[in-house]
Amino acid sequence: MNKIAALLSDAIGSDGIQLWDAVEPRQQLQVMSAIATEAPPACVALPNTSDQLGQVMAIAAQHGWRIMPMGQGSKLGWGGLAHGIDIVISTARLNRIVEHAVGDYTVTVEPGLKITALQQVLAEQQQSLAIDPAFDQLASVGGVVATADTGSLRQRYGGLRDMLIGVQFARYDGELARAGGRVVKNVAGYDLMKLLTGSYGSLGILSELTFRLYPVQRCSRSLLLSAGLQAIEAATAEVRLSGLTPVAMDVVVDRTAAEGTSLVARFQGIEAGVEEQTERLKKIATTHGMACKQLDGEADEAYWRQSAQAIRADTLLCKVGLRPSGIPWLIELADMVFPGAQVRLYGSSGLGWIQVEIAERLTDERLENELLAGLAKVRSHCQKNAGFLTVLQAPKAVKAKLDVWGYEGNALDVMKAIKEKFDPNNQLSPGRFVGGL
Amino acid sequence: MVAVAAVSKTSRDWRGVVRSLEKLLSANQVMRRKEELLVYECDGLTSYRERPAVVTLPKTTEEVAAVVKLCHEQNIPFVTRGAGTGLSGGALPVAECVLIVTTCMQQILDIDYDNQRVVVQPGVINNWITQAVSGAGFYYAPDPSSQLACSIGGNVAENSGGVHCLKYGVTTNHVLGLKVVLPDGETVDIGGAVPEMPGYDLTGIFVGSEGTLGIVTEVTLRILKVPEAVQVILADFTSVEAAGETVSDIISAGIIPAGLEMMDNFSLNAVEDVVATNCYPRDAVAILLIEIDGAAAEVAASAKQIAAMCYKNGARQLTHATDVQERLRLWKGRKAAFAAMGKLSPDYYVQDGVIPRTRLPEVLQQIEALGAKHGYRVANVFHAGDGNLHPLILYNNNIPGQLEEVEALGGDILKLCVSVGGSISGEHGIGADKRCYMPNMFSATDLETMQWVRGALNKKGLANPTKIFPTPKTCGESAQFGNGKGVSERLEGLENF
Ligand SMILES: Cc1cc2nc3c(=O)[nH]c(=O)nc-3n(C[C@H](O)[C@H](O)[C@H](O)COP(=O)(O)OP(=O)(O)OC[C@H]3O[C@@H](n4cnc5c(N)ncnc54)[C@H](O)[C@@H]3O)c2cc1C
Ligand SMILES: Cc1cc2nc3c(=O)[nH]c(=O)nc-3n(C[C@H](O)[C@H](O)[C@H](O)COP(=O)(O)OP(=O)(O)OC[C@H]3O[C@@H](n4cnc5c(N)ncnc54)[C@H](O)[C@@H]3O)c2cc1C
Repeated sequence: MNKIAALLSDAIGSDGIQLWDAVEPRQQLQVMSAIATEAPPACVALPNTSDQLGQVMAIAAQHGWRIMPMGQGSKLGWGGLAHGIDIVISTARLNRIVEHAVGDYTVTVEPGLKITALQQVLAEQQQSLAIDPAFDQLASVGGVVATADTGSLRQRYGGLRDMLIGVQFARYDGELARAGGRVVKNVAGYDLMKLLTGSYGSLGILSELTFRLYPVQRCSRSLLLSAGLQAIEAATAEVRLSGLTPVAMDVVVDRTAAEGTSLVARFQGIEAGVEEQTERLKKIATTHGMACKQLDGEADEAYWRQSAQAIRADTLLCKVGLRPSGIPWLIELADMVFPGAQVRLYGSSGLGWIQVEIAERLTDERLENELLAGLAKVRSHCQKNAGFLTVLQAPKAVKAKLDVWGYEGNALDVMKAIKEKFDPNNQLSPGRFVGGL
Repeated sequence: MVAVAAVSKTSRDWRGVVRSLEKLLSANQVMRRKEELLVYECDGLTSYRERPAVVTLPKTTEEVAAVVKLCHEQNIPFVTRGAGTGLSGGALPVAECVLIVTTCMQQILDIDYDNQRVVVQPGVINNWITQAVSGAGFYYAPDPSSQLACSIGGNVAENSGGVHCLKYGVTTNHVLGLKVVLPDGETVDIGGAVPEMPGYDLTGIFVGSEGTLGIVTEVTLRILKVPEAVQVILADFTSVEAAGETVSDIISAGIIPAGLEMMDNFSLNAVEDVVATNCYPRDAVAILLIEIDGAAAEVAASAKQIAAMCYKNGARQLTHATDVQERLRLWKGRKAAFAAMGKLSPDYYVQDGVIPRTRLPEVLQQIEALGAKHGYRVANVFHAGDGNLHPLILYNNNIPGQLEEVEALGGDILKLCVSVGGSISGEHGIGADKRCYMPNMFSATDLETMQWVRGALNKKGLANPTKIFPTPKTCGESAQFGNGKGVSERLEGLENF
């Protein structure tokens, strides 16, 4: 046993440590996709409790070991590459539901809990965590928060940042710190929940999270409107300025789907309301000459389940954001530089993703350069529209050649100053975050 | 721990400082005369007062930056003030400070209907935004009761809420980006016109930081489309439990009203005495104001369901209002509740605590018992939907000892909130008022970690010093941090400071 594993075993028992060679090959690959160097970590630590998590962190701090947290490892390859990692800390065993306060519509959970497992428990009480269930088969609560992803439901419920009302996390020195609480309204102290959401494990390891929940709506229906881009643009703008309240409203480009480019709007609530709203949207569709497909009940569920599975692990995946008014031109541009790319943009926040098949593109340098040039063009359009483009997932060789985050602002020094306080010895996923933090 | 730069009262050459400030701004933007400073001695929490050394009224980000830079270079503490309606002493000056007031920064800089965003200066009054965009059918959702007076900068700093925040969220859920002058005078842009920009969510940490991390000089906000249909229901009950049950039933049924407010008998009578809305039945033990909005069919159906729930729980009568004027009439009393207390009594004390909503009936009983124990009656007006209580205590500051007694009662109420799993503030902030209760809610480690953020941005500790966090000086010697051990036990019983 190597020295690192031996010391950690002494603290949390050999049962809590997995030597690198004993790690499943699939997981080894996931971990290595997040690290810039060739050398693998010494071991994976699997603490059973937040106290054990703290112990591991404290020992790592004493020895200056670099650590990277891992949920289910489903999207470990996202973000920048870490500069060498000594230990991976898995939250897989921190997977309890601490408290589901049914009447108060809040739930407190540990980070390793899978999103599906959580949603199942909540569904028994007609409640849900209002994020889209994409990749939920794998994703852990902590991983989803650390990468700040929400999805289409953002339209109605906001982002994870808006639902996370309390956290506990293990600091670099192993101390457990809390912020927020378990009530939906609370302004006592700084809002560290928001600081940690989307911090990719660079400030600490989340050990407990409290969310506000929403009731499951009785009736759900989606309308799939398809036509040319101009009609979609006009209809989207009209919906945005109308009193309609879809819970999701996405502009979708998918060559494999019958609709090609479409506007999909989802309505939920009581039946009368859903009926009224979909009728009105149909009228808008008619005035713009759009084809309209209605999805009810199981068809509605199936559509959203399927679209959630659209993101694959072997593609180039970008998260983008821009002023919604810039969406149509972004779609045209993406189509020009990445013919056949899949795109989904959330109509009111202007966030979304672009997925490009890359397997064949990377066979030679010229194609790789074309890809980089294409990314630069799309990024530039997003930035001109007050937005951004972040490359989440790409082959290591590509990531090494570009700034994956695409941060353009003037507040990097502030982020650095915060990182220095939370991670003074630069041990927490070093190099992975914006600006090489 | 953030160091507060040592400033000796006598050593500073304030005349020199004023001369420098007058070079940076124009002379009428710098105030130094005692009579001019008087109104700036306190915010809405009038029991705490301190005179600033000088008041500045910058008009632009550049002017703010210039003033802050001067403070930074000369180690002068500075406090930011919006409209001064805060209720936790957030804008309370500290001794020998420069007060930076945003009342000359009142421009709406940009309105973008296509993208549903506005950009405003911090001194813009909350209600002006809705006024500016209502013609096009939009509004700005967070609506503190003080919305005719309070500034957006203050809202951002306090993460203010309002009666319409149950469904649409509080200030932080509506702020997309900020331009901020940091405590060293540098200007940064955080967040933007789009959410989830790459990097740490600095906007999220700035909102609610009560002026301790810098001065907000521009705010990008989301505006919402005015809902198609709105209905307000006023229901009166003969017991608080029945009203509380109704609140639970509505939420459990999956309905999220835009607002869900409760007033008890004491407060609704106070309102009727002063504002005479003539719509709240004076013999009701509790009333609920329930606003639902959305598509017309949805609102109509929800209204029916809610009415049934009210009656099931024993509501005596229901008033429905859909017309704007009628709705405003029903809300008027609720929004004027604090002011009404102010007219009834020489002084009143507003507490702001949060509890899990399901604990409402029991907590209200305990608050009544606490009031009896301390010898004061407590009126309750609150955001029932999210468990945000506003117990109001009437007293007379001219009677020696009353303020202290009322503060002790307020403190007991806060401890009660924490003991049932709640919070010491839902929307008014910690400021100078509640910093010594922070250890009731957070461990020394928690507070130390929050101070990391403050230390990272407010390196010299000059921005709104002594606010939010307990210090040995403000809360007694026991508020020492750094050893990672809990200090809450040691700090208990330190209500008076
Ligand atoms: C545009 C876009 C669309 C996506 N769509 C969806 C979607 O709709 N739904 C969905 O579920 N997923 C979606 N994903 C992926 C998802 O957000 C997460 O990346 C993934 O689910 C993470 O779960 P995991 O447990 O596998 O985390 P991992 O892959 O193990 O970890 C992800 C990251 O989080 C860090 N991390 C993990 N646990 C912790 C912790 N406890 N504390 C601190 N840091 C931690 C890791 O170090 C790593 O950097 C999308 C992502 C993006 C950006
Ligand atoms: C009658 C009445 C009713 C109220 N009702 C509500 C209510 O329903 N909901 C609610 O949440 N609050 C309510 N309040 C409290 C108060 O109105 C809010 O806290 C409001 O946001 C304060 O705004 P202000 O402009 O008056 O800020 P101020 O009192 O001037 O300052 C408040 C804090 O903000 C900081 N600050 C101000 N401007 C800036 C800036 N530009 N940059 C950085 N920091 C800044 C100050 O330093 C201070 O810490 C009420 C107050 C009164 C008197």
